[in-house]
Amino acid sequence: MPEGKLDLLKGTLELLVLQILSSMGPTHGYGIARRLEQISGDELVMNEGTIYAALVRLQHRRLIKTAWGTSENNRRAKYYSLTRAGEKALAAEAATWERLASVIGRVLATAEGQRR
Amino acid sequence: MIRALREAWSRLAAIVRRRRWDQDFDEELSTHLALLTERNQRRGLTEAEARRRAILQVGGLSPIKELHRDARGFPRAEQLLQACTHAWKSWRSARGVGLVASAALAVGIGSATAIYSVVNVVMLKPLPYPDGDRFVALFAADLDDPKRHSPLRSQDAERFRDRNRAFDAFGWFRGAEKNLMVAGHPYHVGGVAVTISLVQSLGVSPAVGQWFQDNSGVVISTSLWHRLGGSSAIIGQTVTLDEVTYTVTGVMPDSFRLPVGGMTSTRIPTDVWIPLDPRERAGTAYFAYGRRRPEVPFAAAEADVRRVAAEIAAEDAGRRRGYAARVIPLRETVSRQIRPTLALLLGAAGLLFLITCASAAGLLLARSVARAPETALRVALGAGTWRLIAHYLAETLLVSLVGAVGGVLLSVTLTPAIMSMAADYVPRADEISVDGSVLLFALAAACLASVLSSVTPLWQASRIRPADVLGDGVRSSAGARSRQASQSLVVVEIALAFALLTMSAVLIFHVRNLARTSPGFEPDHVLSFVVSLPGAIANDPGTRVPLTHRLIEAVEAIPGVEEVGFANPLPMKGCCWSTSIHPDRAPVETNAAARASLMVASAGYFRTMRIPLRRGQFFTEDDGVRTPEAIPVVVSETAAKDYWGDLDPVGAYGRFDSATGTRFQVVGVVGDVKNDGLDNPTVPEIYRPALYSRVETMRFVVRSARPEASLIADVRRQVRSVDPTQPIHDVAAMQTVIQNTMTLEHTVLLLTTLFACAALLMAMLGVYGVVSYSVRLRTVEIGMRMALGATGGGVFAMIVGNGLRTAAYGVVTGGAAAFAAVFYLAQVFELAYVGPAPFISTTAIVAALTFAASFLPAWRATLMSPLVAIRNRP
Repeated sequence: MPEGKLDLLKGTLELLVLQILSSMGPTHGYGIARRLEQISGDELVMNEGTIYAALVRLQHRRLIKTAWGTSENNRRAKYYSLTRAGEKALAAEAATWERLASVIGRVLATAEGQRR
Repeated sequence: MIRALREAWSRLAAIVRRRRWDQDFDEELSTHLALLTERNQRRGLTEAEARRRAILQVGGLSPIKELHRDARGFPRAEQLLQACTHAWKSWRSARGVGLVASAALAVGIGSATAIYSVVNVVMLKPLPYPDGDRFVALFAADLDDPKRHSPLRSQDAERFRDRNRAFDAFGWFRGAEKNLMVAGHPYHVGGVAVTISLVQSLGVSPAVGQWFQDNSGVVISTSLWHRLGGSSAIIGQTVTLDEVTYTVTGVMPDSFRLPVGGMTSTRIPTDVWIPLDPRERAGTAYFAYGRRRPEVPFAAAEADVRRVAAEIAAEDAGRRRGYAARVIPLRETVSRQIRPTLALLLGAAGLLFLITCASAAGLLLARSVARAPETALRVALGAGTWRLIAHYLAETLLVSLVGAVGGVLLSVTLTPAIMSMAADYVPRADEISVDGSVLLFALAAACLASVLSSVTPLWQASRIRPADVLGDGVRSSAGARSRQASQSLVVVEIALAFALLTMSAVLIFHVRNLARTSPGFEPDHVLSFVVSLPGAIANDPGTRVPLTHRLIEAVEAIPGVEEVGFANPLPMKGCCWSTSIHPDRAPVETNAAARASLMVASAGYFRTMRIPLRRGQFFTEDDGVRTPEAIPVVVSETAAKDYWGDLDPVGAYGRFDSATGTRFQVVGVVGDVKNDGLDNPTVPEIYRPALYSRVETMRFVVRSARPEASLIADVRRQVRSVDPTQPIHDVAAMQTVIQNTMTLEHTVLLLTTLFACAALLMAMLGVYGVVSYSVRLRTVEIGMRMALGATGGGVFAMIVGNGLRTAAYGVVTGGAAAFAAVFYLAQVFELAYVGPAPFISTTAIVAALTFAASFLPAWRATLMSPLVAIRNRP
């Protein structure tokens, strides 16, 4: 898929959310969406609402905790932050992801070599 | 694991606190939307457009809420729950169909569960000993005849005990029925004489007291304990069994079994366990039990026993050539004899179960057609396949669970009824109950039934397209499609019912043949009872002969008694002794190993039983107590023909057992008697006079015109007047004795006939349903035909023919199943020949009933006025 936007792989959204929470500290859903948009540079296609489903799943796994706070426009908003377990999970999953990516990268590189 | 549990817990909490989560999420979402809208506005969009964009960016309000809801709970489970509540609601509006389907399934599940509850106890439940699965039974076997196995001789049992390396417990026992005096009344009780080492190592202790330690102790059953007063002071009391005094050392709990039944069972339930006298060397046969050491697998135990048997054979090479032994897991010895019968019944119940599933499926199919518009609407609104499956499964599951409850109730009432008929044939019959395993079986059957009966309706529903909701013909198009399906269901029902009915027909013919077989004597007006003499008396002719004379005279003195005699064994009870006959100067070439059955009879026996005298004379009473140089005997016609050919055997001499055996002289020839049961071939028979034979068990027969029941008290009083310590037992009319030999056949016959009738009823309701439905669908066509000149008779024939064709398909399809079933049945009951008669009569019954079932719809069709028929659109 050289042109167009990328679909998110299953399970990767959770990893991205964890990373964003880790780097930004307590954030609400809107903030996460903005940050995601900003980093990915508009390359990801997704409905912002799906972030909330990912947040629920992370909550069930006790990787994040929530607290009510006030948003920029003075509304009540739920702020999410990492738990200790969340930090550990982030480290582990990021490592897994990097290994996987590098393996896939290597395999694709050999395939390129053969094609030539 | 803990993490998964914690996650499940928090998902569950989310479902329970659903409203709170919804509110929170609404608030979160509205904050999000507000922020997005503001941002969009800052980029120069109007307020309305900014909000629209914001909603699009989020992904739509309700889809996102749905997503959120799915993420936080158990979406599948919630759908299932929803399906269940929906199913409950939908059945509430169609109670009639639901109840009928439940009733049908209750019959199927109930019969299967009833049979299973017997199978459960006989074949699956562990034996009542700790480590019961390590117990085996040991039998003597014959290398030349691999099928034969018999109890052990005591010398051999001792050698197996001393030389085996496989068992950590080993012992043997024999049945020992005893006469017991209780409060001045003599009773006959079942007993077992058992080696002390075996009971000590069984691992089951008496409920009160302990096992005997030496030869003077006796342990009694709970029921005998109650008859003796039930006080705990029983321990240490003495009881007298056959004139030997024992001290009671313990009372066994009700659940205790020794023997466990089946192949090693004794004739009547055990009430006393006495120590087996180790010096006992009589020719009696012993059953041996052994418990494998934990580390010895079954195959190794088998090899070990074979090794010892080979040693025994080698040590006595002259006479014991071919001697071998066999071990069989004790649990298998319980079920082995009854297993084929149980398998047969389970199979029959399985067939009935399938029929009820088909019949429930037919009902549900009709209902599913009626609801086709609703289903179309659901499909149009986006209900996926999974949702449809869940919906239908939930509906049928509800029906089949109700059916399972009904089935368990049915089985609870059915099982005791069966058991009251066949308790003698079913080992451990008193342990049968509805336990967890039986309930689980019923539940599994219900689940299976729900899957089986929802397949066809689901298939029908899955064909409905969303667009169908627009047309008004969804009902009729679904109907036309389902007609084929419901007809196939009825064909299946008829096929299975045909197989069941054929089985029951074969049994009916078999039992009728048996009933027509003459037993060789006249059983009417004959009462039989047993007097068991203690061994000391039986062995001493000087005491025994006068006693038997006095007993016969006492019974003859009862008013109304015409004839009295006794024998052992009694006809129909199966034979216990056999001998070989060696006539002097052998007039006919006979196989030296050929066996003849040997019976002991008193002089009056033949007259009492009205066994016809063909030649010569019966025994005479006044032969006197002496040992003649040749014992007078009476032979049967078959024996006369087999051993003397065309010569007259009366006056001829011969010997028992071998050319040097006891000498006899034939004094008479009598008619053949079915001594071995009605369904066994006639064998040569030879009768020895009781006068010159050791008689322990005197099986009396009394001929009297008086009703048998009124005779019993007189007989008991007269016997006691001769010997007050002498009980009588096994009191039964000879007719009943004959009937009892066919109990198993009668029970199986009753059950299969019951199953077959239920199956036929359902199949015929199915035929009725299909035919009347097709008449409704074809109203216009029939009207047209009649308008164009078809006669009522023609229409009638067409519709009935339609039903008969369905039945014919069923009979042809069921033919294979029926053949297989009958083949197996013939093996179980050892039927030599099954004629075409059962098949023909079954086909005729199915045809006649199909005709009857399609008669009403066909009759109604002929009464239709052509105009009404055409105007009245289906």
